[in-house]
Amino acid sequence: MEQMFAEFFANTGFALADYRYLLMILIGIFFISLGIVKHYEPLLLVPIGFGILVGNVPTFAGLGVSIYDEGSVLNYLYFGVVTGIYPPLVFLGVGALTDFYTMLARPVLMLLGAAAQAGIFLTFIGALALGFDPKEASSIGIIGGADGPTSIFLTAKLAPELIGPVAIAAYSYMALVPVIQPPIMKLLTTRKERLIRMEEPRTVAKREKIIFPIIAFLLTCFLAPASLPLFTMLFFGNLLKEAGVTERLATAARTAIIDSVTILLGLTVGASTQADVFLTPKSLYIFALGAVAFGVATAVGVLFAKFMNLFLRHKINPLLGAAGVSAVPDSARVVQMVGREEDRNNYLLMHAMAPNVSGVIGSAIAAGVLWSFML
Amino acid sequence: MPFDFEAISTHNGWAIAFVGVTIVFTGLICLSVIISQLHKLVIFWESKGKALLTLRLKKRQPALLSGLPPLVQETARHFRTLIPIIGQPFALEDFRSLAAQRGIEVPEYNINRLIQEGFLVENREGNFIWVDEKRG
Repeated sequence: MEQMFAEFFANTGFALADYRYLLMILIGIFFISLGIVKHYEPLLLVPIGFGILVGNVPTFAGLGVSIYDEGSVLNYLYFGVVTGIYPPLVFLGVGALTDFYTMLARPVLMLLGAAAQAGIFLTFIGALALGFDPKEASSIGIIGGADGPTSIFLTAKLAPELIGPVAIAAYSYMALVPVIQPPIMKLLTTRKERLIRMEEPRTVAKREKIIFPIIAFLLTCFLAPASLPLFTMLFFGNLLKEAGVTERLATAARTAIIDSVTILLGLTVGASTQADVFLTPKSLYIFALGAVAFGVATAVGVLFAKFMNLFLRHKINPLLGAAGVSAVPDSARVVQMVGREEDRNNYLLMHAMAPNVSGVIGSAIAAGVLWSFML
Repeated sequence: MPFDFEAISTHNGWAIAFVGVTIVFTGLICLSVIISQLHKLVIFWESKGKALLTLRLKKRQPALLSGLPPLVQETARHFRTLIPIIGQPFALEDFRSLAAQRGIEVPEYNINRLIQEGFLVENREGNFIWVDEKRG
């Protein structure tokens, strides 16, 4: 009987755990507290944080419950991540939630979304210089797009072994946008520039909002066919929203579907982030490069806005360039916050949504381009 | 992992980055140009629809006229000859008096009929004008 107790105990997590698992459990608890206590992206960090706890409960080989054990429940749920199913479904909900009104009213602001995607490619170069192979470098670079589903989608295709660190880095920095962006924005702009008021956008007809997703889908998919799954769902979701006759479907897309997929995505991505995968020098570099990616994207967006002002009759507030980092709607809110620090009556949120949502399109194009190059 | 710039060139990193940024910019510039013209397309679409409707209405007006009873047509022709004499706009009482002077029978009834058919339209000042193509 004593031997039975001993054997049983030898197979418990208490016997199998070492400092790495404990460290990862602490990281998981940290993410959960960031979400619940600090309200930093709780819809993402709470599932991811709990998933980290799930993935770092030590189990003995052969038990068949780990996320990497074929046939386990977690493995079946993880299928949607590694095959790239979940990210497009999230995009369906994003499309059904997104109002492209301000982007349609002032299309020139889309260029700020394009400029911010330079952060992806600059980080790609940095990752190559640090010794990552091109596929890994692409997966790391896409963190700069500040788009979680796109990051997971591309990494699942190019470097699935990096899904955990890339997703954690992407979502962590998305949650930290209010911390990362303001110092860069203030450093690169003058007070006079931050006080610029945007002119009111024109009225956008309902027909334009219906035609836009169809035209945008065709153009972006013809340009970057590799991103077809992402653009399909994004613009289909938007069409459901704007058509006016498919409100039930749009409501399902932006509530039940996106919430269900977010739960499964967050939980399984977190569970895939196990100690032996995450606690490596590579992960540290990925985190460092992720921070660089966000910073560079913010800086390039702001600087490009200042460059555009050299040619525009009606100047744009250069803070809007930071909203090209497609952490929707957080980076737009940061623009609003920084703008109102100078002028409490300067409401930039509506205008910042234009580069914000065009950044989503830009990062998906960038993902398609990188995937095409890596084939 | 030391920083190695050679690795960038080895993997065509500079070219990929340049081409990638160019493609992203090109795509969004094209999309923004199309979007900037979209409202003109919508306005043209809607105004074309209105123009088509107006054209259809104008084509139907002769049919409307020919659809009127012959007596009304004849009455309208008689009263129309008075317009160059009285000038526009005119007071209805003056028009009635002129009609009576010119021998038009029961001018009150006929003027009322012409108002109902839309040949005589009242303006803001309470005077009337003659409308050839409009029906009430």
